[in-house]
Amino acid sequence: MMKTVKITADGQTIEAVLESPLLPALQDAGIDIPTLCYHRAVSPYGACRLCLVEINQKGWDDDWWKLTTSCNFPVLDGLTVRTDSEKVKKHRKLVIELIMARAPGAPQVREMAERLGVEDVRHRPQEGELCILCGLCARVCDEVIGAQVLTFSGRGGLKDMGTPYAEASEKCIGCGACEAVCPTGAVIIKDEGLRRTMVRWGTEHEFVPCRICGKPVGTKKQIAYLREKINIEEDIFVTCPDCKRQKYAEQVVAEGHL
Amino acid sequence: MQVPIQTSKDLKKASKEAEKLKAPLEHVIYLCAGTGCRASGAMELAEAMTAEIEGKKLGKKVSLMLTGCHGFCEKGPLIVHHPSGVFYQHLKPKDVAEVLETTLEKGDVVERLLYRTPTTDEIVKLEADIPFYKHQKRLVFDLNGRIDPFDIDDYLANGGYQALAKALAMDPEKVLEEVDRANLRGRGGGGFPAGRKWRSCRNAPAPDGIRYIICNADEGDPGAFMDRSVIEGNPHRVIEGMLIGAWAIGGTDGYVYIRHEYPLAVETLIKAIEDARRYGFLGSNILDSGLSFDIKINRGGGAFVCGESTALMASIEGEVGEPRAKHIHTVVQGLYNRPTNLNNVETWANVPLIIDRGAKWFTGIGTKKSSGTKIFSLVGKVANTGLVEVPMGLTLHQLIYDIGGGILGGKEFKAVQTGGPSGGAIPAKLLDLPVDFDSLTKAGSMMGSGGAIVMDEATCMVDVARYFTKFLEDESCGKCVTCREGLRQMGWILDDICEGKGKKEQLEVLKDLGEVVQEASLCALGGTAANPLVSTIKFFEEEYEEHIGEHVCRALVCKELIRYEIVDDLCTACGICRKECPTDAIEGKKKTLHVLDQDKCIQCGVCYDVCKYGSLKVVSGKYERTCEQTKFKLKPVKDQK
Ligand SMILES: Cc1cc2nc3c(=O)[nH]c(=O)nc-3n(C[C@H](O)[C@H](O)[C@H](O)COP(=O)(O)O)c2cc1C
Ligand code: FES
Repeated sequence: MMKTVKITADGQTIEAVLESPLLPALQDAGIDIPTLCYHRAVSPYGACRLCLVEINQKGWDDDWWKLTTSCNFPVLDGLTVRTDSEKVKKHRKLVIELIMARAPGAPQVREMAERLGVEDVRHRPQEGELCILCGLCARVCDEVIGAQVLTFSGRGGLKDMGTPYAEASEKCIGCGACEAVCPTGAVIIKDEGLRRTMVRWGTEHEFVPCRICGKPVGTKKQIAYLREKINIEEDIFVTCPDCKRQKYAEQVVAEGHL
Repeated sequence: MQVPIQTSKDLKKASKEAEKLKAPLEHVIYLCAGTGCRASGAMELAEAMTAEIEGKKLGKKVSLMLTGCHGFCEKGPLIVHHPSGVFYQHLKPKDVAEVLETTLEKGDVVERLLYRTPTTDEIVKLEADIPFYKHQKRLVFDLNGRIDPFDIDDYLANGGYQALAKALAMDPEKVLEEVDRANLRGRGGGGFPAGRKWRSCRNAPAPDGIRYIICNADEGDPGAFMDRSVIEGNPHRVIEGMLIGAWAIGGTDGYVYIRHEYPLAVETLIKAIEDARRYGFLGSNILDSGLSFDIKINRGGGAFVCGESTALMASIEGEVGEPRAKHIHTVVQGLYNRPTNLNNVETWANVPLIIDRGAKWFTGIGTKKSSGTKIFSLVGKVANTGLVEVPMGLTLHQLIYDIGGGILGGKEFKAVQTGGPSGGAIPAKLLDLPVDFDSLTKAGSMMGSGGAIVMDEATCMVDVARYFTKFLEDESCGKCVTCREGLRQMGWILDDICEGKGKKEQLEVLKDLGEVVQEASLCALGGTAANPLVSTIKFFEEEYEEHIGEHVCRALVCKELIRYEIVDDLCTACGICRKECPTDAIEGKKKTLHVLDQDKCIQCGVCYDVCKYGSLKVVSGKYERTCEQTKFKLKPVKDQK
């Protein structure tokens, strides 16, 4: 079903699936494309604007290049891509400078700025802000977990990410996928003993303890959710990864083979 | 009337019948009942008019028709008398008896209610002679103000739905060709050729046979209201246009996306759609052609960005009104991922005219690349404001001076912002620019939906850039970094400059921001949002430099850069400024020269506005302006001493 086509990027010929996102196709070919809002597990969104490239489509004049984000641009037959032109570099720098001003405290953003050759930020910093509104947390929560807890609110300068009406959401299962994908450390989760606090979303969760060591396995809601969704060995839900490994090792030793 | 009308032959009969039914009486009073005139009391006037006609038993001789907007809202409530064509403005219920008696019975006019030219104070009797109307070419607006928008028979009596019948008798391909040849370009923003869009939509595969036809009546540009006016004045023209489009494109389902804040337009449209259904113009097998098509209304919440095509479709689907990248066009995958053809209200309203009179006629109007007319919303510091329909290619000068009557109060023209908030400011040296899609874009502005905000010498261009930039920042959906953060930083720098805290380096930063917002944003809101900034820097850089280098605002607008002063030898010590000053910054007694304490002054300008003796001035560097002297009675206190 999936049709593969040839594109050219910086002179290199690449084969990629027709109409799949351009960004991973370029990355798979070993081309470095900066991004903060793209993740392969979820649909592209085009918010951070860092993955800019220049493209020339089949049928266009040879010297006509269009600047576009590669995360949400489809692989097309005969597409030519420039990822390293002066224009691309210049605009990526201008973009990261804006992101730096947005989230001056995020080390990941600072690293990215360094990587793109930006030292000085000429803009007014928004001190204390970490969130760059890339929406990855919401996309993961929605598309991968299926919990649909998070959403954007407001527009323009008032745009924000959070739970609807900024109220603690019943739907949150405390899985922490949002924190895992957050590119700037803006989603903060505090685990203490058998309690988990989703600081940014205002929900509290209780962990199910490991039946062997008592350490947290997953939150109660998360485990209930998983039980419903997947049909696997019950032991998985009540044993922590460390004990599982230990148990497995013991079994191998006892039985003398793998 | 025999409804539903089932064939085009029936339609002919019905039109004849409607013509007879609607034949004008000896006198007709066209009373504007559009949103603007309603706000100034049109409905009270209508009531008084009805009572007078009944009271005087004039019912056989005079009919009163409540019409949609005439475009000259600032003169409302207004009426036009048929057959004389006399135009009366600012009518009050108490004027009714006199107007009817003088105009109908004596065949004379009530002079005090006639139009006067703002600059020369000349009296103009007839609507057709008023410069505001005289230089217009009203095609889309031809029936606005001449029919009752709530009465489908009125539309039928004026040739309504004839173009539909004509189109339905043609091959869809031929209809498409006609629109293509007419070079009809989108009136809602980009000026994209409608024929090309229609063809792409028609050629796009529709696996389940559904193709959407949408009318964009979101009209988010502040100050623009032509789409509202077209719908309020002649809703069936839009419906007829969509029907012809559906036939040519293979459309099955229609939507009008209309802003919620337009209650009268919504009401008019609902009635029109119901009537069109009842008459058989919407539904299945329309006029026995095989075309089945109906229209739903979708109310938008009034976000500017929801006028953008992909955001609009997301909004109809019930999603957040955020644009998406258009690498796959909406004509191929639009609403509910089906082929979708979106056009603006005014674009649709042009379609019946083209089918009726032919592409050749249409291309004879306007310029080579921009055919037909465009409705502009002329506002700001011009003498005549309102909606004007002109052939494309008219110069800005003609628009502003011939139709607009020039600048108010004898001030100098400085710039005109065309294209709404994301258009650009065009300076005096380009006044001879023809208004068409390409010329405006080349000048760094755009046609947009046809907004035209006129600015005079007392308008600060840095402040203008700041105003529009902040509007766009607020209205940006906030999805992409460049648009959201770029506009925010731009706004902050413009604040600094207006407050006299700007630095020379910031001008470079602004230019960089302008470029990245324009080039790297996700949708056309971002793509055009830098226009106000970029165009004002391009044409008015010296104002930026003055603000930054000299802390001077030549337009005397930016509060932190201006100072109010009392002109000693003109002050009459009348005391009004002292009384009105909210911070008690003015000291003085009877017969004593008043003094303004700069430390207490907050530059609100109240003193300047209330002074009648020309004794207050506002100063910034070498620039100053003195308030108008409207009273001379008292002697300046200096002389009295
Ligand atoms: C931010 C933004 C706002 C827009 N608002 C409107 C609008 O209010 N009405 C409209 O007809 N088109 C608006 N447009 C243009 C539409 O996206 C679209 O191009 C147009 O409706 C197509 O119709 P046309 O080709 O007949 O002009 C807007 C575009 C942008 C980017
Ligand atoms: S990765 Fe493409 S815009 Fe962020």
